[in-house]
Amino acid sequence: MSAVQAHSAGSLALDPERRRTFVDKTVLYLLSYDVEANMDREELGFVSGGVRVNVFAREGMTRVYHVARARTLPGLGFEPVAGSLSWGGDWLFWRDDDIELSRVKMAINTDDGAVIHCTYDVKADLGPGGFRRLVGKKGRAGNEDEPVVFPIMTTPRFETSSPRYRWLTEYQCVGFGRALVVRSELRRLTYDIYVLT
Amino acid sequence: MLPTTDWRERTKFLDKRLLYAFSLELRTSIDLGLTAQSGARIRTRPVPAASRGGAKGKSRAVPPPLDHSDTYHVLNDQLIVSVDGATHEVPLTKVVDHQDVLTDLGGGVFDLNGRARLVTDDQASISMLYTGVVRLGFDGELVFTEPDQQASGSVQLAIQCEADRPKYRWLSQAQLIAFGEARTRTVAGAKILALSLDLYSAG
Repeated sequence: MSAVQAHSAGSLALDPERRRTFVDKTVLYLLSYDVEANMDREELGFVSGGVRVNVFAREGMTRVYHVARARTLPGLGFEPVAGSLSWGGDWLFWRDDDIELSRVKMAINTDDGAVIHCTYDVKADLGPGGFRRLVGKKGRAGNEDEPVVFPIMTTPRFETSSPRYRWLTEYQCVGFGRALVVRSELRRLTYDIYVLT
Repeated sequence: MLPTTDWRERTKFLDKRLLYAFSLELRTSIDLGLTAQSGARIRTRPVPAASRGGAKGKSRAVPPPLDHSDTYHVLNDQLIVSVDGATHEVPLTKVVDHQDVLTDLGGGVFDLNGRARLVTDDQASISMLYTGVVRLGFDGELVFTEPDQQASGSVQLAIQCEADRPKYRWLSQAQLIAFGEARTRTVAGAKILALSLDLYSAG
């Protein structure tokens, strides 16, 4: 019996000292944003383990807003964030095991003149055969009449020097999004971002 | 034509789901001397198990588990459902290695970056990378400089896993988030940071 097995056998049974209640969790709505992808994307092509593509936000075709148009954020008490992206990029890596990894960086210009930097990693399941559909010439995912919509999860963090939005830097966030894909090209993204407390 | 009406300034929230996956206990040792030198950036070290050692002289692919660092199900269930609707066995693992770096953001809030290696009871390895926030209260900074200062608070993490075996592939595909409690205590002269986390798959 290995050390791990021995240790497991001793304590993975019902342990009276184990926590038997869930930790309190709260997920508070923060903001939403929509992004149109620039069609002028950088296709790096096949690299070790998959395919790399860099996609950037289309200028003037982004919006950061509050879905319910509330004046304060319930549970947080701060004013909502509204504005647009001054710049945003998504460094996509489609792995050949049908998993997408990407790193997103973007800057939000708020309507009141602040700049908020946002970064996050994305992990998405491309589905069975998803990698081949995305990079292959045949059977490409989605068309103009029937675009494919992928669910995407993100975990954004924010940075800003603006005192008005300084509170954003102290929260881990989670984003629930949808990506619209036409002919295997990312066209649009929309997200709801929530704060974890 | 692309459907444009639903993509600008939505007035409805997107569907969201958080499903409980499993719980994770992590213990790390805070090196107060190193903390004094590194300022706002604090490194922690794994806490070796008292019985660490095991099979001496033998080459081992799996290191021995760390003290009080493992996964379990709060309700002791054996099956869980992930956001894709599939049912999976609760991964019962021992943490064999992990390291954290905390960065002081001020006001008792710390940015947390870490990695852990978990070994399941059927000997599969799971790599875990996490980032997030630890809140230890307004005098939380003192925990890392004053030997007698203790604190407790909350922690929220975003976690990504990689697993090689098909049985645990769902962990590679899932975005996990964690809500937990953070607590410090002094054990045998060493200051320990204990994280008790509930992990949820999000989708």
